[in-house]
Amino acid sequence: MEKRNFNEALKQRELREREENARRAGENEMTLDDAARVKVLSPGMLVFKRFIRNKLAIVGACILIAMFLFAFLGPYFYRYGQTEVFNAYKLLNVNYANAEERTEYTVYPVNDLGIGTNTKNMFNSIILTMEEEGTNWHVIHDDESNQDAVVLKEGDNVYTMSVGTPVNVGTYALQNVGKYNTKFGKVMFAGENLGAQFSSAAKTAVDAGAAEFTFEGATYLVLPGANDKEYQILGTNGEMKYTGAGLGDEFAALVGENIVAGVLSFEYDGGLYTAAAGQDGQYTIAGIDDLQTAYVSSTFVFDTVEPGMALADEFKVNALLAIYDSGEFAYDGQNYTVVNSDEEQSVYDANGEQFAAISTFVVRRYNGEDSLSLDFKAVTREAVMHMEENNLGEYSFTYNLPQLDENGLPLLDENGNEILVESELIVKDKVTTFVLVCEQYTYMLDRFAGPTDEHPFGTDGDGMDILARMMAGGRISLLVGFVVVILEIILGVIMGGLAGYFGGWVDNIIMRLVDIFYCIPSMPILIILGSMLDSLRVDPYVRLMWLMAVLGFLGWASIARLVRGQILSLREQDFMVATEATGLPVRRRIFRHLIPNVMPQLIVTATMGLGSVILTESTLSFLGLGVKHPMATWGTMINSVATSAQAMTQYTYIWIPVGCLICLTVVAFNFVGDGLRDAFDPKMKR
Amino acid sequence: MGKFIVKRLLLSVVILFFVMLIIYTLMHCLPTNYIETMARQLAERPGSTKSAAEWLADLNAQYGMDKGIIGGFFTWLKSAAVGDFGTSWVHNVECTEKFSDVIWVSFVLGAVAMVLEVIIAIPLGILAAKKQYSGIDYFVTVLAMVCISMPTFFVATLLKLVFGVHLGWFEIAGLTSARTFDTLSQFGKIMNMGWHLVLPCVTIVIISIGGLMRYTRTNMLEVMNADYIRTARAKGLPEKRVINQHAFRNTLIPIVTILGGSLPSLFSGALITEQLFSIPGIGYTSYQSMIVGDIPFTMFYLTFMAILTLIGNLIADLLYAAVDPRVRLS
Repeated sequence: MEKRNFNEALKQRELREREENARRAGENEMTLDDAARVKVLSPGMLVFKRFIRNKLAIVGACILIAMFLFAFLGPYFYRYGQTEVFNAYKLLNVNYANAEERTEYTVYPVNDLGIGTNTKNMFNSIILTMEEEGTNWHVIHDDESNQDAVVLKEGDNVYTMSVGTPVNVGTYALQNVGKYNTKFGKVMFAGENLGAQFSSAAKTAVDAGAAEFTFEGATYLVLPGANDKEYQILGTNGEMKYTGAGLGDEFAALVGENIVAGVLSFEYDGGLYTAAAGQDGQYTIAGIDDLQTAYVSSTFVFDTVEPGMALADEFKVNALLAIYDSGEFAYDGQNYTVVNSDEEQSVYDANGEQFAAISTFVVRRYNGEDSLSLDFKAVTREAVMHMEENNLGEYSFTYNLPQLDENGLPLLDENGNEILVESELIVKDKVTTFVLVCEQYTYMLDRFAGPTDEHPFGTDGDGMDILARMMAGGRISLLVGFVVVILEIILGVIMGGLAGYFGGWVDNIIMRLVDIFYCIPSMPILIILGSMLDSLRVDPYVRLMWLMAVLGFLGWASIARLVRGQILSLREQDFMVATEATGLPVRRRIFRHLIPNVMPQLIVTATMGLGSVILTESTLSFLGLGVKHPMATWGTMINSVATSAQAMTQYTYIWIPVGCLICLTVVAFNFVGDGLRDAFDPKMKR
Repeated sequence: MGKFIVKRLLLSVVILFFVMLIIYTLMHCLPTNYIETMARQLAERPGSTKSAAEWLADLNAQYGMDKGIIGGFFTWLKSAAVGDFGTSWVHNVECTEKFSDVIWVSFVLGAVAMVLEVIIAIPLGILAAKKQYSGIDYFVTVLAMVCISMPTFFVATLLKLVFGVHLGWFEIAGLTSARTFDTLSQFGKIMNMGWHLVLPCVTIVIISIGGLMRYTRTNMLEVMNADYIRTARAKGLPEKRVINQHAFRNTLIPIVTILGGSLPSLFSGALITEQLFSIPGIGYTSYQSMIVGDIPFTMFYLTFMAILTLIGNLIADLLYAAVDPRVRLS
């Protein structure tokens, strides 16, 4: 039966070497008691030799050395710190801009001509009425300043409110029939008596609230009189009396027509005229001359070539008035030209360069800021027009948008120009407005970045480098392991040593204590502790101390049992009897002769224990009950990404490497522990 | 034998007494504001039957939290001795009632896992020992080590990722399919639960198989080096007979002992695994209680665990004596 026995192989090799040595040493045959035949090795060397023969132990030791270098020396060579937060340019879906066709009128003051607030506030509603009716002018009497205000349509989207000087033209008198008094129920005729039948016709009209009625083929007007019981009855035929040269019969007929129709302002031959009602059907007719603009109202907005420039109202007023006028205006000592054509409505400065565009289409950043370029606005407008033509709900175009830095400001290159990135903008029809959505390159926390050259294992949920966190986490995990195991050993050696050395009732009590500690369920207690420390919001570092202390306190029992058993068997051995016989002091007997003999088992247990402590710690941290943020441990790193199914699937590049690190470390400790045990105790070969 | 059992039982009772004292002391040392905060938070949950003040009054009555450690301990011991552990704050039922509701899931999970473990680990361990230093020996040794060294949560997460998410074969959480479970037949319901238990079961097997494998291998090696095996070989017995009859039977002694000793732990549930897979067994239930400071249920669980450990030790000792005729009980 062929067997691959390493011991055999080694023995043979040693034999061969020895033979060779002997040959080299000389021709002399070796005698049986020759000292050179026996190769003397120190016990430590023996253990070491046996250890390095064990392949698995060597693998484990290599892993451990690598892990220690990684965790403790790695940070000195790695370029990032464990709490360093990284930011990156990432595509972020943002509402970039807002576009809408402007329909609201804005009123700009031009001259203060004493127009009352009420009238001014009616400006925009008058414009709406005028737009509905399609009229070009409207006269409203301003009660506050007792003057007529004229609203004129200057052109599309521009209206003015002006005040003129009245020029008396003459008077117009309607036929005064008489007064109807509800108290008497009949008409008090001013001139010719038209009879009782007329009275009753007037009564019917007044009772019905009608403004006019017909009697015997003629139409009569009913107007409110001096008090609420009195009504003025007027005929429809009237007479014009000019104060001056007169404007002729045509004008008189127009006046009569309008007055009968109840319209008190009218246009004639390019001039505006008003009729003011007086007593007994008398109307004063006046022309409005020398109009002066008090307010301008317009839906136009100015988009300056230089984005976001604030324009003074005066500039806007001048430009607005110039659009449908001469096309030229001056502001602040500068001359400007307004071009009003089908293609564009723009303001050019004196050098003939475009200064601003005028339109009713408003494109603003989503936060209302006017920081967009004219070109962007034009492109947007085109897109929106395209959407409206084809009745699209969504449309997209690409445009070069600036990258933003951490403060949301545009990023500049060395020459001070904005860095532009081609982005796709999606225009969405939101009924009243159009919203432009885009994925903009924004400088933000680099969360859960995948592995790149910069971050070999990516970044975590706080934008920290995973590799740096792994190193830091390894340091804490190893540290926890060592501290806990040292605590366990100190407690265990003291208790086990006492029990084993003194025996008797001390031994009994301590061993019962060990039994008790064996029965205490440690995981539940650690969980309760973790939850309690959570609720008390204990500082992470204090928490770490608590964790280590409790882990050590709960783990000493097995070591105490081991030490006791070892000491019990050693106590009976001859060398201990010899120490007693030579009268060595107790301290020397314990520390010189007993403890060194327990050491091998202790080292083995400690090595294996390190692995299991790391496992416990990482499990607790994974449950969120162990070490806490900002400290990293391997368990917490996995906990932060593997708790939900979605995160687990998405962030495999984080938790799988970290989990492998835990496994590797624990496996390595176990291999080394195993190898050490075999090396210390060759009889119990693996 | 009888005398030994009685002696061990009495000792176990004494140990249990002190374990309970330590557990009680730990609970007693919890900061009062922690208990109050937790009681208040739990009382505000929907479906809680009592107010926080009532709970705290109950707690004082049953656990003697206001009486100092020794006085309070005996107050609690008196009610615990007759099986009265009070009403769980989280679950709003008697602790023992909740326990009997959930224990069977844990038991089934543990039992199936244990059977699988034995079926896989013992033959592998023996095989490894039979061919020491061979490829299979190295494989088993390394496999056992890796299994021992895997953190539960990592194994569970890996299994979930591979079999739950990527392959979609098994469910990754819960005991029943929430939407379809009620529509299933009796048999279908059992199958559905079994389906959900596959991954947790595999997790438990993976993390606990290593220990048993190593143990079997070490013991088998020890037996194989024993004199009676050499004698058997010297007699010229076929290798098969040497292994199967002379070696294997003797290897079984320690294995049966530790397996017997771990029987009670079938009831203790897998705290972490159940929590990771949201399997409503005793482990999951007590985890939920522990993290929110449900003192009655936590105390119940800790006591239960201590009793299980003691029973396990007792069984192991007795079995050792029963199986190995060399051991004299005295």
